[in-house]
Amino acid sequence: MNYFNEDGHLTDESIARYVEVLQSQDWDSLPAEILDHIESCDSCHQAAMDLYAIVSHHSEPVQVTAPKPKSSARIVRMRVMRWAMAAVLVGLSFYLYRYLDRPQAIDNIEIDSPIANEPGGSKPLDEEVVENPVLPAPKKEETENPSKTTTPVPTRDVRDLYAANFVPSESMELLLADQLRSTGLEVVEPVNESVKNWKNGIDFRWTGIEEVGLSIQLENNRGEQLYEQTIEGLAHKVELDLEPGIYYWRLESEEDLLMVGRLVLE
Amino acid sequence: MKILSQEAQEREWLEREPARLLTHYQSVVEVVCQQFIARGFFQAEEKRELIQEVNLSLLEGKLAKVQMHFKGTVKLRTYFSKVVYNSFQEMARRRSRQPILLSEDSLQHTPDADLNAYQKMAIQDELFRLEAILKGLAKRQHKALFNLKLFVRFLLDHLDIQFYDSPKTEALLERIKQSFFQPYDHLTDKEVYDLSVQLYNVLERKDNDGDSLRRWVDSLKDRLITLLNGSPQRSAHTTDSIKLLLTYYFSSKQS
Repeated sequence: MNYFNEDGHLTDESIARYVEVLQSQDWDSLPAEILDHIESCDSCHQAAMDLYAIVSHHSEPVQVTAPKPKSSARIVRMRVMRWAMAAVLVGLSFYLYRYLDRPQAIDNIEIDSPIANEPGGSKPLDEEVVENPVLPAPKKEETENPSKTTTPVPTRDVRDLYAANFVPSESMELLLADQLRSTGLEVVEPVNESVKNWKNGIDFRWTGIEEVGLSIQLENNRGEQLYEQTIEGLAHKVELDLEPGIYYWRLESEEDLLMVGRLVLE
Repeated sequence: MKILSQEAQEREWLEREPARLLTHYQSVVEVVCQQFIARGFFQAEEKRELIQEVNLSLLEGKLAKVQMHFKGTVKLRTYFSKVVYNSFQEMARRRSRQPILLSEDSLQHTPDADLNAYQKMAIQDELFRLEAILKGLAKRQHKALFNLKLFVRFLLDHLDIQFYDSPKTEALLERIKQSFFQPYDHLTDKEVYDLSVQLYNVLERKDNDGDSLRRWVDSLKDRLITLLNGSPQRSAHTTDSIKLLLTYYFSSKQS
């Protein structure tokens, strides 16, 4: 079999073959000619690196995390752990005092509402993920104010139950980052990404010039399409039995993707 | 009814229904396009137009070439990814587009930095390219990874030394644990490689000094810089940025 093209470089299939061996590490299956050429030709080696990156993007992405903490960071972290444990105890006591000692208050607890005065308590989780996704490192403020995260926040509890539903979809986040073609449409409803009451349906409304054959689609954070419906006018109500989590909607015309949006059902 | 494996199904589509194959592989086209945008060759708002142009070129001739040239020694998806990559590369060349060079600055974002999805993808892309070089070292991989960790003063753990565990290396590994399982930034290169080289002298039955190991690591680092920077240039790595990239890479493999 010929592994080279007329320029003397590896064919696309030979480069693909090398990349598949990088993945499998089954070096015995790789013809020596291909390996020898890769080792001596930077151009083909770089082409293989690029292809490896593409096929890796398809599968599981490398998580970029912070460098391992040095000794001083570890000591600080130990201190934080002690503070955090003490704070959890304080938090638990507060919880028992507030929710168990006063049973008449139970009926009034709104499970979705953050406790007043909770610093950063109302910040949506997806915002946290977006702000802190790539290079997470020990947060400095945690060392300065270890009691900050200790009060039990019911919203967080609900999210913990559905943690996997709150992981943003990489591909949809990229779509959100894109500037889609100018449509002349604007979203009026939902007003915010965070939706607290969706059990009776989610109302969508846009303003602008209406196009023919509009449809709305809804998918979850795992890319599973849950809903598709043609819409009449510039309003639509999506009625679905949904769990808390991150969802993405798309507004499409017959030819184009017009808009993409994110919903955080809390 | 005939039930085909995914690969067989895709190959059948290539032969009989190339347009269907293209629809099936749209995620590949999209990922490659995003990768080119992330590396700065194109703007995000060009994405739809670029995808359309590549789809058209595939339908109008390139898929027919794939039918002719594909020998079936690899997965069709891998081969198709290369064809799509070539198409975007041609387009970048035709439009005289240059990448935004990835450098130390791009890698020095703190956790709070407001990176958009494409900036994250560019860093991830560079990590995959680095991984491709490291995995390509084949049998030299263990030695390279071990010593590159020492080069960036990355804390070692048991997984790093289990490969070398034998009665002959027991005492040496104990010293390595004492030295490199806790922060060792204060150690000089000479001190680090003088200890490390003893391990390889035992395993390879050689009598090298620490300085020869340091030179080997240094040439490996230079090779990483050359390949990652590329020709035409894709990145602007220096010794410092490579250290940063390696540290991210090792951290990602640990978590």
